[in-house]
Formats: sequence, structure tokens, C-alpha cells
Amino acid sequence: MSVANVEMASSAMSPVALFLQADIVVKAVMIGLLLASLWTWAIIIGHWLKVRRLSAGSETFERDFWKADDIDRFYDQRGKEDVPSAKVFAAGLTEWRRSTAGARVDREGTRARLAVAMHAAVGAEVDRIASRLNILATVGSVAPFVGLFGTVWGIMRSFTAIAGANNTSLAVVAPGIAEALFATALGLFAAIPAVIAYNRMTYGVNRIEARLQRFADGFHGTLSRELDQEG
Amino acid sequence: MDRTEATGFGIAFAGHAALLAALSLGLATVHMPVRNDPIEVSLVDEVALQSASPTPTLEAPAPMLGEVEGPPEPVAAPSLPEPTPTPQVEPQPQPRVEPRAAPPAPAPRPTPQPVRRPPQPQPQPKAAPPKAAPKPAPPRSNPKPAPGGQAQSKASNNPRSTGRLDGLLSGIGATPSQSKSTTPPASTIGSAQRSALRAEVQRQLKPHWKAPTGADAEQLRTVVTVTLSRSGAVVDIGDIETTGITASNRAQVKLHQEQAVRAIRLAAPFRLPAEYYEAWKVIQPTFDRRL
Repeated sequence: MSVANVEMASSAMSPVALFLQADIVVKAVMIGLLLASLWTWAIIIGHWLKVRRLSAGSETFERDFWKADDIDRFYDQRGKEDVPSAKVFAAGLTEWRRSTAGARVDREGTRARLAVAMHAAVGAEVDRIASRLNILATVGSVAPFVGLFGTVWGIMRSFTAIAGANNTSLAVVAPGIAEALFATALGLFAAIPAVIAYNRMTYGVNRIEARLQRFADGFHGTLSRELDQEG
Repeated sequence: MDRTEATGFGIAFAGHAALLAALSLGLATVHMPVRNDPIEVSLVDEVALQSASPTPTLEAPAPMLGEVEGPPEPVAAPSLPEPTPTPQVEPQPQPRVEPRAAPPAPAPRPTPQPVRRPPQPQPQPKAAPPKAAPKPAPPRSNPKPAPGGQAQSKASNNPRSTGRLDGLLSGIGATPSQSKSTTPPASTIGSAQRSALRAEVQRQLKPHWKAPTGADAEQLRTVVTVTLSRSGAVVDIGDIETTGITASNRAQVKLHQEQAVRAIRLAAPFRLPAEYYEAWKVIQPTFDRRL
């Protein structure tokens, strides 16, 4: 094999060439998988940036909160921040103000309402963070099958080509098989990061939820003590 | 889509574009060094123009003249089945030499050349009687050192008397051989030659043989009987027999046979030593997966 042939072979095996040689169905599969991969990585990177920003913000917010002397003034200063802990804090304090606005305060009812309100806020925040993870799960489980479909289709086509050429030499079979296998490669290329990221992010979201819940419980304790002192 | 998601999408898009560009430009491919594919060489070492039989000569065996009343050479005759002159002269008074005792002496002689020019020495037998003893001597170095020293000195130079059989010698060498055959008789083509010819036939068939592939196809063996002309061309393709047929390769049998016949047709004419035509007039090459 001469050098020129090697060059030709390597250019014939480049992704663009493989894509251009492929059948229309395989092309559609490849485009879909490429978009899935793009979307997966967009979600992974976006989620990573978002979680990093939100958890850093929550951490500073909680640290400042436990240091703060006056809860009402702290709420006026920092209560509007776009941070999960701030949302939970705002939900709790709003409920507290509503419940204690009247002359008579039902302590048990107030405690229950506070707990429910903050629990709901935690759930809403977690939902907001985890909103895209189901896409990762879908891509991770479906992309290999889509790639496999493309491969099966491409191999069927290259077998038809064999039958047409009346020749079983590898030179007839190889390009079709290669382009067909490229579909599976793309499927795995999209699915593997998606599955890894999904598992890792589910774990991360659970940790954020647990932390928010702990913060909510602590704040609930504070408000509950306050309630006892008022009465 | 908020700001982080947009950022993530931008980064992901850039990464994919970079990866695609790297793969397209071949940056990620390893350049394989140009390799020299090995060339298949088959060594056939025994295609020799060499006969296993004793060197055939067309000269008449030298008659040995014994002393008139002497005892007829007791030592040499029983020791070798080969050629003590006494038994030979008796039954065969004509000048043509028959293949003497091919089986007992398979391949000891490295001098094959005399095969080629048998016709030339034909006139010589006439001269044989005068210089009797030295002629048959070369192929017969063994029997000469007979235990009796006097026998040696007598045999080397002087015609020995064979007693009462003297009269039989009168016709020897008088008539030249009628035979025009230039090939040794078939029996002189020994097993070494036959196997060498078989190997040579296989070697010439090999480049044209392509075994069919498929389930159990490697178990098929096809033997084709081919008749060749003297020039090596295929005269006739006879029996084609295939063994090793199983249920799963039954479909391949016909193809196997066709490929075998095709290989023979493509390989013809066979270039084989003409001297041994008798041995390769009919060849039976066996085609299997590896030939």
C-alpha cells in the first residue's frame, strides 16, 4: 500500500466522508445522534455551571444567615436573592409573617404551615435545578438503540450492495460496514457521557436537596422557638 | 433557556466542532507506517531431474570371460542381488540393458546426467567385448573389493572365463538397440520423484486456487483426476471426488469442485520435466483449504 493510498484511506474514513457516503436513513440517525450529543453536553456544562453558582451562593447565604442578628432586617437586605436557600428562607418568612399577623396565633397550625411552606419551596428549587436531567436519562438509554438502528440499516444496505456487485471481497463490504458502524459509534458517543452525567447529577441534586432540607429544618427550629417566646 | 444553559450550549457546540475538525483533518489518526506485506514463498526442494533407479545405460553389460575350466567366481554372486555379470549374460543376450534391480538401490547416486543422452552410446556396445571389464565398473564399486585379492586383479583388466557358457557371448553387441525411447522405463521413476512432481503440481496450482468460504467449508477435499499431454496441457478432466461433506457445507460442494477445475484450467500448461512424463501423465491433485 503506498503512501497515497494511506492518505486516501484516512480521508475516506473521516467523519464527514462517512456521513456523506451514508444512506439517507443513516444520515438522519447520525444527525439526530449528533444533536443529542450536543444537547447532552450543553445540559452537562450548563448544569455544572448552574449548580456551582447556586451552591456557592447558598453556602454564603446560609453562613450570613446564621450570623445575622435580626431576621427581618436580613430578609429586607438579602431575601430577594436568586439562591435556593434564599427562596426557602423567603417562603418561610413570608408564611411566618402571614401567620403571625393576626391577634391570635395558632402555634401548632403555624408550625405545620411553616414546615409545609418551606418543604414546598425546597421541592420547587430542586425541581428547577433538576429540570433537564430527564433528558440526560432519555439520551443515555435511547441513543445506543438509535445508533444500533442506523448500523443495522447500513449493514442491510451494504449486504444488498454485495448481492448487487456479485462480489464478496472486503473492498466492497468494508465502506458500508464502516459507515454503518459509525452510527453506533455516535450513539455510544452520545450515550456514555449522558449516563455518567445523569448518575453524577442525580447524586449532586440529592445532596443539594438534603442540604436545603437541613437549612429549612434549622430555620423552622428558629421560627418555632420565636413562636414559643412570643406566646 | 437561561444564561448558564446558553453558555453550556455554546461550549458544547464549540467542543463538538473542534472534535469533528480534529477527526476530519486526521489529527487524531495515528499514521501507520507503510508496511511491506509478506510474500508467500513456498520452497520446493525436490523437483529434481534425478532418477531413483540405477543410472540407466544403454550399453550392454560387459561379458566376463572366465578361465576355461576355472571355478565360476564364488564370492560376488550371492553377496548382491545386483549385477554380477554371470546371471545377466545368461538370460539376456541382447545389447539393450534392462533396468537392473531398481528397488534395492533407491537413491544413492548423485549423477543423473546419463539419462539425457541414451541414444548416443548406442554404437558403443560393439566395442564392449574388447574392453570388457572397465565399463560396468563405475556403478559397481561395491562388489569389486571382494575378499579374494586374486579375483580383483583378474576382474579389473582381464576377461574372465565363464567356462562352458562362452558360446553365449557370440551375439552380444552385434545388434544395436531398436528402442527409440528417451525416457527411462516407468519403474525407474521412484517415490521421491513422484512426491517431488506432486509438490511441483501443487505449487503451480496454488496461485490459482481460491477455497470457498463458509460453514465447514474447510473440511472439503476435492480430488480431481487430470490427464495431461506431453506439453503439460490439460487433455481431459476425469473424476472429481469430494470428501468431507457435511450437512452444513453441502451447498459449497459444487463451488468447491468448480473452483478446483478452474484452478487446473488456469494453471495449465503445467511445466514439468518431460523425462518423467509417464509419472505425470495422469495427476490427481487434492484441493483442500490450504492446498
